[in-house]
Amino acid sequence: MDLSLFQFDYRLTWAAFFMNADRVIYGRYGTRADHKSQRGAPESAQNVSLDGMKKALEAALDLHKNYPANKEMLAGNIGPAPKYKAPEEFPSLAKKFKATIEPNGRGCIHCHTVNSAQAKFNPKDDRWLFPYPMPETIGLALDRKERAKIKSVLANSQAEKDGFRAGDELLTLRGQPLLSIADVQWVLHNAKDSGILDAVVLRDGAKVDLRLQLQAGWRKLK
Amino acid sequence: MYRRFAITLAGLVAISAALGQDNPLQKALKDVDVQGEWIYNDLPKGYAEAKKTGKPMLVVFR
Repeated sequence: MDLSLFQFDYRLTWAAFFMNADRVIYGRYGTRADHKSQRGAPESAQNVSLDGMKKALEAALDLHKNYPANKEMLAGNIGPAPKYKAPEEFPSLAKKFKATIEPNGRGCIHCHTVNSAQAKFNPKDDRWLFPYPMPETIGLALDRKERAKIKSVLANSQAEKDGFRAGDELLTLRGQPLLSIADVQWVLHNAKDSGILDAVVLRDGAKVDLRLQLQAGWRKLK
Repeated sequence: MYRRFAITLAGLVAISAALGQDNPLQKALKDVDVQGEWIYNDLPKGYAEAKKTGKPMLVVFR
Protein backbone atom coordinates (compact mmCIF):
# COMPACT_ATOMS: atom_id res chain seq x y z
CA MET A 1 0.00 0.00 0.00
CA ASP A 2 1.30 3.42 -1.00
CA LEU A 3 1.33 5.48 2.19
CA SER A 4 2.31 8.61 0.29
CA LEU A 5 -1.09 8.47 -1.45
CA PHE A 6 -3.42 6.64 0.90
CA GLN A 7 -3.19 8.63 4.09
CA PHE A 8 -6.13 8.27 6.47
CA ASP A 9 -6.93 7.44 10.05
CA TYR A 10 -5.39 3.98 10.15
CA ARG A 11 -7.31 3.14 13.30
CA LEU A 12 -10.44 2.75 11.17
CA THR A 13 -11.82 -0.68 10.25
CA TRP A 14 -13.42 0.74 7.09
CA ALA A 15 -12.29 3.72 5.02
CA ALA A 16 -13.01 4.94 1.50
CA PHE A 17 -11.34 7.25 -1.02
CA PHE A 18 -13.00 9.02 -3.95
CA MET A 19 -10.37 9.44 -6.67
CA ASN A 20 -9.52 10.21 -10.25
CA ALA A 21 -7.60 7.70 -12.39
CA ASP A 22 -4.61 10.05 -12.27
CA ARG A 23 -4.45 9.55 -8.49
CA VAL A 24 -5.89 12.91 -7.50
CA ILE A 25 -8.07 12.46 -4.44
CA TYR A 26 -11.53 14.05 -4.36
CA GLY A 27 -12.24 13.15 -0.77
CA ARG A 28 -12.47 10.57 1.97
CA TYR A 29 -15.17 8.79 3.95
CA GLY A 30 -14.94 7.01 7.26
CA THR A 31 -14.93 8.40 10.77
CA ARG A 32 -14.84 6.72 14.14
CA ALA A 33 -14.50 8.64 17.36
CA ASP A 34 -14.81 5.54 19.51
CA HIS A 35 -11.79 3.31 19.02
CA LYS A 36 -12.38 1.21 22.12
CA SER A 37 -15.52 -0.70 21.19
CA GLN A 38 -15.42 -3.91 19.25
CA ARG A 39 -16.06 -3.76 15.53
CA GLY A 40 -19.78 -4.17 14.98
CA ALA A 41 -20.76 -2.50 18.25
CA PRO A 42 -23.36 0.24 17.68
CA GLU A 43 -21.07 2.96 19.01
CA SER A 44 -18.39 2.03 16.49
CA ALA A 45 -20.67 3.36 13.73
CA GLN A 46 -21.95 6.47 15.49
CA ASN A 47 -20.08 8.86 13.19
CA VAL A 48 -21.06 7.38 9.81
CA SER A 49 -24.34 6.86 7.97
CA LEU A 50 -25.66 5.74 4.60
CA ASP A 51 -27.14 9.21 4.08
CA GLY A 52 -23.77 10.83 4.74
CA MET A 53 -21.97 8.37 2.46
CA LYS A 54 -24.50 8.99 -0.32
CA LYS A 55 -24.03 12.76 -0.09
CA ALA A 56 -20.25 12.39 -0.08
CA LEU A 57 -20.45 10.18 -3.18
CA GLU A 58 -22.68 12.70 -4.96
CA ALA A 59 -20.25 15.49 -4.11
CA ALA A 60 -17.37 13.38 -5.42
CA LEU A 61 -19.23 12.90 -8.70
CA ASP A 62 -19.71 16.69 -8.93
CA LEU A 63 -15.98 17.22 -8.42
CA HIS A 64 -15.30 14.63 -11.10
CA LYS A 65 -17.57 16.45 -13.58
CA ASN A 66 -15.54 19.64 -13.08
CA TYR A 67 -12.16 17.93 -13.21
CA PRO A 68 -9.47 18.93 -14.12
CA ALA A 69 -10.53 22.61 -13.86
CA ASN A 70 -10.64 22.14 -10.07
CA LYS A 71 -7.39 20.17 -9.78
CA GLU A 72 -5.56 22.93 -7.96
CA MET A 73 -8.04 23.11 -5.08
CA LEU A 74 -7.69 19.33 -4.57
CA ALA A 75 -3.92 19.42 -4.12
CA GLY A 76 -4.23 19.52 -0.32
CA ASN A 77 -5.84 16.09 -0.33
CA ILE A 78 -2.42 14.52 -0.55
CA GLY A 79 -0.20 14.98 2.45
CA PRO A 80 3.51 15.46 2.82
CA ALA A 81 5.68 12.56 1.70
CA PRO A 82 6.10 10.11 4.60
CA LYS A 83 9.48 8.75 5.59
CA TYR A 84 8.23 5.24 5.02
CA LYS A 85 6.23 4.84 1.83
CA ALA A 86 4.86 1.39 2.63
CA PRO A 87 3.74 -0.19 5.93
CA GLU A 88 6.32 -2.97 5.70
CA GLU A 89 9.11 -0.35 5.69
CA PHE A 90 8.47 0.72 9.28
CA PRO A 91 11.17 -0.84 11.45
CA SER A 92 8.59 -2.14 13.90
CA LEU A 93 6.65 -3.89 11.07
CA ALA A 94 9.46 -4.92 8.75
CA LYS A 95 10.26 -8.11 10.61
CA LYS A 96 6.66 -9.19 10.89
CA PHE A 97 5.27 -8.64 7.40
CA LYS A 98 6.13 -8.91 3.70
CA ALA A 99 5.25 -6.47 0.91
CA THR A 100 2.75 -8.90 -0.58
CA ILE A 101 -0.12 -10.87 0.89
CA GLU A 102 -1.33 -14.32 0.05
CA PRO A 103 -4.35 -14.53 -2.29
CA ASN A 104 -6.57 -15.48 0.62
CA GLY A 105 -5.57 -12.42 2.59
CA ARG A 106 -3.13 -14.08 5.00
CA GLY A 107 -0.20 -11.85 5.86
CA CYS A 108 -2.29 -8.71 5.50
CA ILE A 109 -0.98 -5.83 7.59
CA HIS A 110 -3.83 -4.50 9.67
CA CYS A 111 -4.26 -0.74 9.26
CA HIS A 112 -4.22 -0.08 13.00
CA THR A 113 -0.69 -1.47 13.22
CA VAL A 114 0.38 1.29 10.81
CA ASN A 115 -1.05 3.87 13.16
CA SER A 116 0.82 2.31 16.08
CA ALA A 117 4.04 2.22 14.03
CA GLN A 118 3.70 5.89 13.19
CA ALA A 119 3.11 6.83 16.81
CA LYS A 120 6.13 4.77 17.81
CA PHE A 121 8.22 6.48 15.15
CA ASN A 122 7.04 9.96 16.19
CA PRO A 123 6.79 9.61 20.00
CA LYS A 124 6.80 13.35 20.74
CA ASP A 125 4.70 14.55 17.85
CA ASP A 126 1.20 15.61 18.88
CA ARG A 127 0.10 14.99 15.32
CA TRP A 128 0.58 11.27 15.86
CA LEU A 129 -0.30 11.19 19.52
CA PHE A 130 -3.66 12.80 18.67
CA PRO A 131 -4.20 11.76 15.05
CA TYR A 132 -7.14 12.82 12.93
CA PRO A 133 -8.85 15.04 15.53
CA MET A 134 -12.60 14.91 15.65
CA PRO A 135 -14.22 18.29 14.79
CA GLU A 136 -15.44 18.42 18.40
CA THR A 137 -11.83 19.20 19.31
CA ILE A 138 -12.32 22.70 17.93
CA GLY A 139 -15.93 22.88 19.09
CA LEU A 140 -17.88 21.59 16.11
CA ALA A 141 -20.31 18.69 16.29
CA LEU A 142 -21.11 17.62 12.73
CA ASP A 143 -24.21 15.83 11.49
CA ARG A 144 -23.25 12.30 10.40
CA LYS A 145 -26.16 12.25 7.92
CA GLU A 146 -24.74 15.23 6.02
CA ARG A 147 -21.45 16.01 4.32
CA ALA A 148 -19.98 18.47 6.81
CA LYS A 149 -22.92 20.29 8.36
CA ILE A 150 -22.67 21.73 11.84
CA LYS A 151 -25.21 20.18 14.17
CA SER A 152 -24.14 22.19 17.18
CA VAL A 153 -21.33 24.43 18.33
CA LEU A 154 -19.89 23.65 21.73
CA ALA A 155 -20.29 26.47 24.23
CA ASN A 156 -17.12 28.50 24.93
CA SER A 157 -15.24 26.67 22.19
CA GLN A 158 -12.89 28.25 19.70
CA ALA A 159 -15.40 27.63 16.94
CA GLU A 160 -18.05 29.56 18.84
CA LYS A 161 -15.65 32.47 19.39
CA ASP A 162 -14.82 32.48 15.70
CA GLY A 163 -18.43 32.76 14.58
CA PHE A 164 -19.42 29.28 13.51
CA ARG A 165 -23.11 28.48 13.96
CA ALA A 166 -25.32 25.41 14.08
CA GLY A 167 -26.79 24.83 10.62
CA ASP A 168 -23.72 26.14 8.80
CA GLU A 169 -22.53 23.81 6.09
CA LEU A 170 -18.77 23.67 5.89
CA LEU A 171 -17.88 23.95 2.22
CA THR A 172 -14.13 24.38 2.38
CA LEU A 173 -11.45 24.40 5.02
CA ARG A 174 -7.99 25.69 4.15
CA GLY A 175 -9.34 25.99 0.61
CA GLN A 176 -10.09 22.31 0.37
CA PRO A 177 -13.57 21.03 -0.58
CA LEU A 178 -15.17 18.97 2.18
CA LEU A 179 -17.18 15.88 1.29
CA SER A 180 -17.39 14.34 4.73
CA ILE A 181 -16.45 14.52 8.39
CA ALA A 182 -13.34 12.53 7.40
CA ASP A 183 -12.27 15.40 5.15
CA VAL A 184 -12.56 17.82 8.07
CA GLN A 185 -10.43 15.46 10.13
CA TRP A 186 -7.89 15.29 7.30
CA VAL A 187 -7.47 19.07 7.25
CA LEU A 188 -7.23 19.22 11.04
CA HIS A 189 -4.72 16.39 11.12
CA ASN A 190 -2.44 18.30 8.77
CA ALA A 191 -2.96 21.71 10.37
CA LYS A 192 -0.20 23.42 12.27
CA ASP A 193 0.00 23.40 16.04
CA SER A 194 -1.23 26.99 16.03
CA GLY A 195 -2.44 29.42 13.42
CA ILE A 196 -5.48 30.21 11.33
CA LEU A 197 -7.62 27.96 9.15
CA ASP A 198 -9.70 29.77 6.55
CA ALA A 199 -13.20 28.37 6.19
CA VAL A 200 -16.15 28.98 3.87
CA VAL A 201 -19.59 28.01 5.12
CA LEU A 202 -23.00 28.05 3.50
CA ARG A 203 -25.37 29.96 5.77
CA ASP A 204 -28.96 30.75 4.80
CA GLY A 205 -28.08 30.16 1.17
CA ALA A 206 -25.07 32.50 1.09
CA LYS A 207 -21.37 31.79 1.37
CA VAL A 208 -19.70 33.25 4.46
CA ASP A 209 -15.95 33.46 5.05
CA LEU A 210 -14.79 32.56 8.56
CA ARG A 211 -11.39 32.16 10.19
CA LEU A 212 -10.74 29.49 12.78
CA GLN A 213 -7.98 30.29 15.23
CA LEU A 214 -6.02 27.25 16.36
CA GLN A 215 -4.46 27.85 19.75
CA ALA A 216 -1.29 26.11 20.89
CA GLY A 217 -2.15 22.66 22.22
CA TRP A 218 -5.52 22.56 20.46
CA ARG A 219 -5.14 18.89 19.56
CA LYS A 220 -5.26 17.91 23.23
CA LEU A 221 -8.59 19.63 23.88
CA LYS A 222 -11.73 17.56 24.28
CA MET B 1 -22.52 -0.09 2.86
CA TYR B 2 -20.19 0.06 -0.17
CA ARG B 3 -22.25 -2.55 -1.97
CA ARG B 4 -25.37 -0.46 -1.97
CA PHE B 5 -23.60 2.51 -3.47
CA ALA B 6 -21.88 0.41 -6.06
CA ILE B 7 -25.39 -0.17 -7.35
CA THR B 8 -27.03 3.20 -6.84
CA LEU B 9 -24.12 5.24 -8.13
CA ALA B 10 -22.94 3.19 -11.03
CA GLY B 11 -20.83 6.11 -12.26
CA LEU B 12 -18.02 4.94 -10.05
CA VAL B 13 -15.37 2.35 -10.63
CA ALA B 14 -15.35 0.49 -7.37
CA ILE B 15 -12.24 -1.02 -5.88
CA SER B 16 -11.58 -2.59 -2.56
CA ALA B 17 -8.08 -2.92 -1.35
CA ALA B 18 -8.99 -5.69 1.00
CA LEU B 19 -11.49 -7.06 -1.20
CA GLY B 20 -13.25 -9.29 -8.51
CA GLN B 21 -15.56 -11.80 -8.64
CA ASP B 22 -14.27 -15.29 -7.82
CA ASN B 23 -11.24 -13.76 -6.22
CA PRO B 24 -9.68 -15.91 -3.46
CA LEU B 25 -9.61 -12.92 -1.17
CA GLN B 26 -13.28 -12.28 -1.84
CA LYS B 27 -14.02 -15.84 -0.78
CA ALA B 28 -11.82 -15.57 2.29
CA LEU B 29 -13.73 -12.47 3.30
CA LYS B 30 -17.02 -14.27 2.69
CA ASP B 31 -18.24 -11.53 0.36
CA VAL B 32 -20.85 -13.81 -1.11
CA ASP B 33 -23.54 -11.25 -1.91
CA VAL B 34 -21.46 -8.53 -3.59
CA GLN B 35 -23.39 -6.62 -6.24
CA GLY B 36 -21.96 -4.37 -8.92
CA GLU B 37 -18.47 -4.74 -10.30
CA TRP B 38 -15.66 -4.71 -7.77
CA ILE B 39 -11.97 -5.18 -8.38
CA TYR B 40 -10.28 -6.86 -5.44
CA ASN B 41 -6.79 -6.05 -4.34
CA ASP B 42 -5.56 -4.75 -7.71
CA LEU B 43 -5.19 -0.98 -7.78
CA PRO B 44 -3.33 -0.81 -11.14
CA LYS B 45 -6.30 -2.60 -12.74
CA GLY B 46 -8.61 -0.07 -11.09
CA TYR B 47 -6.61 2.88 -12.39
CA ALA B 48 -6.64 1.39 -15.89
CA GLU B 49 -10.40 0.77 -15.77
CA ALA B 50 -11.11 4.30 -14.50
CA LYS B 51 -8.92 5.78 -17.21
CA LYS B 52 -10.60 3.70 -19.91
CA THR B 53 -14.15 4.50 -18.81
CA GLY B 54 -13.59 8.07 -17.62
CA LYS B 55 -15.27 7.23 -14.32
CA PRO B 56 -14.06 8.23 -10.87
CA MET B 57 -12.89 5.58 -8.45
CA LEU B 58 -14.17 4.43 -5.08
CA VAL B 59 -11.33 2.74 -3.24
CA VAL B 60 -12.24 0.94 -0.01
CA PHE B 61 -9.91 -0.27 2.71
CA ARG B 62 -11.37 -2.69 5.20
